[in-house]
Amino acid sequence: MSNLLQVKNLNTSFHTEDGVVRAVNGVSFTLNHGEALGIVGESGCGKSVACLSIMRLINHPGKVEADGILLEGNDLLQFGEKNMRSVRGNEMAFIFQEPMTSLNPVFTVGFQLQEVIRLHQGLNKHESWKKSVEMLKMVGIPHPENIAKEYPHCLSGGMKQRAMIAMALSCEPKVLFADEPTTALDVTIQAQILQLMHDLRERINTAIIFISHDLGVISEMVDRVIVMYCGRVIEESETRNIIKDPKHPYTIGLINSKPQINEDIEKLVPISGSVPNPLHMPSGCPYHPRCDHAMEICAEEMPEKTEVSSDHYVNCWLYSRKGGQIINNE
Amino acid sequence: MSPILAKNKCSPASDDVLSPGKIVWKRFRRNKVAMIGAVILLVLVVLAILAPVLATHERDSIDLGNREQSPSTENFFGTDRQGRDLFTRVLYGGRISLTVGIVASSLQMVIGVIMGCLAGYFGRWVDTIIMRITDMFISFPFLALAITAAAILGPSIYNTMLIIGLLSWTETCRLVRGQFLSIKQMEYIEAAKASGLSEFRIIWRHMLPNSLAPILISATLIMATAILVEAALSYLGLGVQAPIPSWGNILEPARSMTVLMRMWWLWLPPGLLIFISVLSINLVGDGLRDALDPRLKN
Repeated sequence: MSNLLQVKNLNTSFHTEDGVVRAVNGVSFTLNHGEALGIVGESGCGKSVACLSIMRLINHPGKVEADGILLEGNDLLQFGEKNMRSVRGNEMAFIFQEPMTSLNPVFTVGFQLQEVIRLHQGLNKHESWKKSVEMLKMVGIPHPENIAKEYPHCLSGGMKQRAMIAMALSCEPKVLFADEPTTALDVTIQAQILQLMHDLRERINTAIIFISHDLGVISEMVDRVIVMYCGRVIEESETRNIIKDPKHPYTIGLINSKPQINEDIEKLVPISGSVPNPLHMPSGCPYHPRCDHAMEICAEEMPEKTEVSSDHYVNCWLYSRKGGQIINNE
Repeated sequence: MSPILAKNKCSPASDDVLSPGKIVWKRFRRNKVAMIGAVILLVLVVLAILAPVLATHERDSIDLGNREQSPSTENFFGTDRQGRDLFTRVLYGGRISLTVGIVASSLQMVIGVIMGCLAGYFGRWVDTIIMRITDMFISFPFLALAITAAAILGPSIYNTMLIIGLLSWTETCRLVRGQFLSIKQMEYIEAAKASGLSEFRIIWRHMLPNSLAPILISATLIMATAILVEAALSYLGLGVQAPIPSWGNILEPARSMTVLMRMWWLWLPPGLLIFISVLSINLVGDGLRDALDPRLKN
């Protein structure tokens, strides 16, 4: 498998009146063809901003800097706005969290799909309409030729999200960003949508970057997981490793704070404290004020990326030689 | 069949899809007062269009032997100080007044919408510049500015349209800007950007249709104002110039007290028509507001 998308040292900052907010700090990762990558973290940890930055959809006062955002070897940061537009929706597509407001209320569902298809594939009116209906059918919408003529307010949340997925996949993008696509839906529909995305991924061979705060959803969908905290990657590995053998205290906390259906746990363990104010980041490791294992060095220096076992990376002093102490976290 | 469809309120038989336009028309039709306004307006427009057919006399033919005659079967609305038939002149005056109203309010709408789009969409310094310009326009009393402009440009029908159009776009501009500021935050705009649509297309095809409702309402109300301003300017002799009649300049003789007291037929018909047309336009505007207000959606 070759590298499809390579993000090197991505930094996104917002220059607000109150100060500079560094929403994404030195995030790097690679994505292979057809791979599914999960990004996990609390609200506000920079998951969505990182993905929007890759598509260069960050508006003023936001600023995106990186050593490179390479899509099949082409640096997207060097692209002009016009070239970038032909990438968006065509080679990279985005599914948003809130399906209820993601469709324009004044146009029919079919029209909106058609618009994207015509723009990127140069089909005529008739062909693009046919393709829209086909796409709606593919995402499991019954009577697609009728639903295409409906306005969004007539569709339920699950149907809208299906339509959004249809729109995102209509040009068979190489990379699909899914920003918590099931968070706004109820649980039964969630399962359907996840199943759908899983099937479509195999059919179209699109690489997916799946953003979620829900490790349960992530574990079913993706091959690899990145855990983010305060705009930084703190742990990265295959999904199996993250779920079964998490290393970073934050990841452990995330897993412990979620109920497990097959285990008998008396009490859920929440992570104490709350996410720090982005304007006043703590020194050193941003997690140290909430961390049970915090050491002196944690408040002073940023931990480096350390390989704890093969293909399992953690940014934590507990696992770094410099930290001086390796604990056994069973 | 999927269980999702069972929840779907709209019928999947899409032969009669309720488009937003159809919904609005349905609600507008139920509003009796607004429908009355619309019918009156339609009648006025038809009368104006049919003026050459309905006119009983030559529009500008002067008959000094037949001056200031009160209404009769020969001259339905009587004659003016030059002996011209007032019925004919009022019919033709409607053409001019309504045209000035439509052209001027279209002009202000084009300027206002474009400026408002730019300010609301691009924000930052574009917004600052445009907003300061509107502040400048708003800080002058409208009529005083219009009179000054008319005095400088010289009175004519085209200048009247131009003056009204150029001086009244600020309201639309602010309205569109406000709409754009809120629509810009909507997720479907983000989604449109993420699918690679150009900025022009996003503004024109996605944001503007969503702010059409308030623009339409304000356009009708501004059209009523434009008719009033045209009448005011022409009444003062700064608007449409004789011999071209407009409802405003037919009223001109009413500046004299004798006319006002003794010769009611010189000013009552055009005055009444201004009143009726402005009222019916406002009724239509109110009806549109009710029909388009999303909070009234059932």
